Amino acid sequence: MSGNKIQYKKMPIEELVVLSQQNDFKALEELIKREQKNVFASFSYLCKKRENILDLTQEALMRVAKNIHSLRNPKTFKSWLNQIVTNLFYDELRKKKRKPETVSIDESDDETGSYAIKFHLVDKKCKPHEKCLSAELEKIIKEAILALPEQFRIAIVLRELQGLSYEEIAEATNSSVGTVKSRIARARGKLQDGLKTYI
Amino acid sequence: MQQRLSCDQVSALMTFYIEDRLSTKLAEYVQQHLDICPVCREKYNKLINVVKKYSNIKNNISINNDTDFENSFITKQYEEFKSNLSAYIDNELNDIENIKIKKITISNPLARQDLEKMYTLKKILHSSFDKTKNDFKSDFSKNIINQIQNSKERKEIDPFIKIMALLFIIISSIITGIIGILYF
Repeated sequence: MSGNKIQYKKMPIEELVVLSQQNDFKALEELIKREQKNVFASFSYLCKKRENILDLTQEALMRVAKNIHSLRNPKTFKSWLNQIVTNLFYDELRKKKRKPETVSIDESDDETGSYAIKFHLVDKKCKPHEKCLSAELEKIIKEAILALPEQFRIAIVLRELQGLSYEEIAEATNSSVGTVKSRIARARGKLQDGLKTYI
Repeated sequence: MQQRLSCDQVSALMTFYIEDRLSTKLAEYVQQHLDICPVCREKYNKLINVVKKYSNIKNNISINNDTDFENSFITKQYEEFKSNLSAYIDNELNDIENIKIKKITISNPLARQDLEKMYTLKKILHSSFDKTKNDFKSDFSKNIINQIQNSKERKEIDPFIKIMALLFIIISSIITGIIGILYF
């Protein structure tokens, strides 16, 4: 049993995908375990409402698990996954537009609380200070990305965080490679302006 | 203090007056003298013209210098470099475009600076992403697998129930048919 688990941990993603398609639940579990951090990070930089990030992450992973059979080429798993993420994000945006904007009264309290906790975690874990990014800077970068227009945000997150090619991003966002190229360039320009003091 | 200044005194004070470095009282006396004495006024006008011209020239030179310095690097190639830089970082250019970018980063310090900035941005973005990933502490995998397995089991039961229902309907209709035939 434990030997089996280790075996799954060493497997490349493509193998896990194929096994999951053959109803191997352990492979599927390992696949989700590997990707959940990634998906969570994507939504953290895409979605402005922090309380929705976890729900969206779970929903995206659920869709992956349910629809893994419909993925034809296991090599394209990554772009397929990100397509799911992007579609979910678009759905979320549409929902938001329908609902009137609300402001949570607890929000400010909640934020300071969670950042305080984060700060403690960072101090414990990050020993090499050059590599370690303070929680403060992470917050600033996140805000800078969240301040970008949606299309730019999606493009830069898919490129920098997920490492997709321009072509894959174009497919996921239903646009052309040229558009993706200019969106990413402009997103970078804006981020550079916004983060001037840190570059 | 004597109220009236002599021409010599005024000419001695002239430059300070123009540069506005005199005390208000003294400046007032110089002004009074200039109002009366045409010789000194002429001198004053000449001097002020010279100063104006000089400052104009000086401004022009400094502006020209700045723009010249920057302009020498802002060429057409540099503009092209700027528009392609982002794609270059992502390795999305063809070979010819790649070589163009490499060439310009060697020859043009502005381009080199831009490239370095781009890499720094990439670096801090990535460290930020890594940090966010590590902040994720929960594990959805078990939960999702359980849900999937449950729904699968339900699906397996479904066809069985359907077949049973179908059989029940057929049998009951046959029985009612037989009853109907027997009685009428």
